[in-house]
Amino acid sequence: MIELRDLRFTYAEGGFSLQITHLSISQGQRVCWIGPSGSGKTTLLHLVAGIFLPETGQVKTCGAELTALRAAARRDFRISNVGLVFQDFALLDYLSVLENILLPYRISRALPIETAVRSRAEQLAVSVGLGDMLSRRPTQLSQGERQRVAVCRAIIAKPKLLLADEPTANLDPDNTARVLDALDQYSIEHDATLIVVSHDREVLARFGDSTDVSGFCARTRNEPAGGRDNG
Amino acid sequence: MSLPGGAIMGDSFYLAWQYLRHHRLTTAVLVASITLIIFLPAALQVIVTSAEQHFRSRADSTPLIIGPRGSPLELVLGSVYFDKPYNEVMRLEEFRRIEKQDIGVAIPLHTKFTARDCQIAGTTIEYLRMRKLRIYQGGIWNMLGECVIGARVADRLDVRVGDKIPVSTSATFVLDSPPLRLRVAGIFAANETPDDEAIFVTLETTWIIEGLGHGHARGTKHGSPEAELYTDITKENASSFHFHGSRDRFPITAVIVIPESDKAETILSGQYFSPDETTQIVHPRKVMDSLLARVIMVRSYMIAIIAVVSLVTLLTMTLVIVLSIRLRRAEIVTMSKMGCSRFTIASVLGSQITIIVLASSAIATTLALLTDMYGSELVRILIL
Repeated sequence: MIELRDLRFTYAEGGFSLQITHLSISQGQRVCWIGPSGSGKTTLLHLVAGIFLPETGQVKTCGAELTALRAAARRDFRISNVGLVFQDFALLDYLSVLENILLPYRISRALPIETAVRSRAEQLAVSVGLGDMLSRRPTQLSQGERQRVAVCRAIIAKPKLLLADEPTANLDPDNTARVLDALDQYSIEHDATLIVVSHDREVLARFGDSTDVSGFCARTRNEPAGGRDNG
Repeated sequence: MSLPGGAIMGDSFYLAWQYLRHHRLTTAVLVASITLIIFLPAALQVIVTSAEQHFRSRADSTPLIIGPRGSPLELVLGSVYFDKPYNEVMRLEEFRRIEKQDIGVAIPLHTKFTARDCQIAGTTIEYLRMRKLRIYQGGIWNMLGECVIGARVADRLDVRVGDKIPVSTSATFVLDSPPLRLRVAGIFAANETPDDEAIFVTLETTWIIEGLGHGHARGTKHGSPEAELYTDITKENASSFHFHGSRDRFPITAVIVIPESDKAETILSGQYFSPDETTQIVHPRKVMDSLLARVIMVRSYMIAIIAVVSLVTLLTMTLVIVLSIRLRRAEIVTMSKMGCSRFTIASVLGSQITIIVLASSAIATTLALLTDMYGSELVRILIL
């Protein structure tokens, strides 16, 4: 499902590099990546999603060799196959809850919007307890409600891979549980791979598999880099 | 056939529209700014063109003016456009001298007085014929103290046939005599010229106002004992009004001349070359051309100023848009991470600008059409 081989990535500014000889995650697996701040967890997520390209090595995700794809193809691949949940929710304030959930369909030709999609978005909102908030704006929601909207947006296109970057960092325990439940449920029901980046022990406790990413990271000085951000 | 990317363009417009709706105030300010940038030069053009036409057509219908020496422009404005009272006078004998030459139509004017801020024009029946003024209500004056008023005077003063309009008190030079009241004998149909704004009386009536003639009428008291007294000329007392001295020496402010031929015009013009002349002959068309040339020059300056202001406004708006894009950087990064192409992001931002420009253009065009439609009315309100 996900395979990283002989990978080397360095930020253009230098000072940080990531080296992975081999890392694989199978289909439907739920994994937690842990590590201290700056250890490269988010960078690794971006590499797996095809947002960043490594200087060397291969990144295979959902059967696609991302390093061999052109930028446009990588974008289409990402929006069709990868669901992203961000720490800061990244919702658009000027759209309603429903329109935020439907956003992937608004911004890509790869996902044509249909009536069925709209009703699916409504069902998803109902399933996470937002059924009566469809027309509200994100600013009218609590932190937990916003993150649940973000989860719905990530799974609306039925991705095979779900990447969540510190999804519970800003949430209280109740909302943490609801958000993780929603991610878990989707992963199980759709046999989707779930990778959650966190340094929250509570989150870690829910996952059988966890990888400490800090082992892949190397801090360097004045080492200019060729890592590409070609999202 | 739908274009490739047609759906995404529709979604881009949708997202842009939602963004603009959410930021209503910013959007309104941007739309208003662009609307003004488009509309102001267009409106200026329409109003100036309309004013030009208005002034030129009136000047064209008044071939020559003979009046006391002084500012030709003030003579034309006072005699042709009834702009303000014209205080310089000449003798009636000048009119009689021109009339005797039989070189065309000569019409005397006495435009020295006002009544309730409306210009009084003392003249003869020839003036009404020359301007093709039609009676809308009532009739022409029959006696001293009667007037026929323009349509806008009737509206503005809210007077009807039979009502009385007091002449401005400062106009009456005979201290012992109460101010004259003009009886409205008729109202002219509107003809969208300065005649709509004037009160027409006979020359004799203006001489009564000036104190050169008087009667033995007693002032009529109206309302309370403190109320102002007026002099009314009625059928009963009209015969008692009389003038002293030779009428040839009585004042008029101008003579309109419509020469019967170019030769007649040349002959008449030749009579006013002498620097010792106390009168002058002017061609209203030339005077107005000279004035309008300055107006057009001012318009050019204004358009240049508007262009500079528009440029500065456009630069400011560009800055606002650039700053708003920078403020939306997080949103753009999120969309990009999700798989949105740069083209789509650009088309969302482009759609926003397009919607603002289209809305502004539509509003500015509507305003420009309305300005064009009501151009002459605007000229009347703003300029006349």
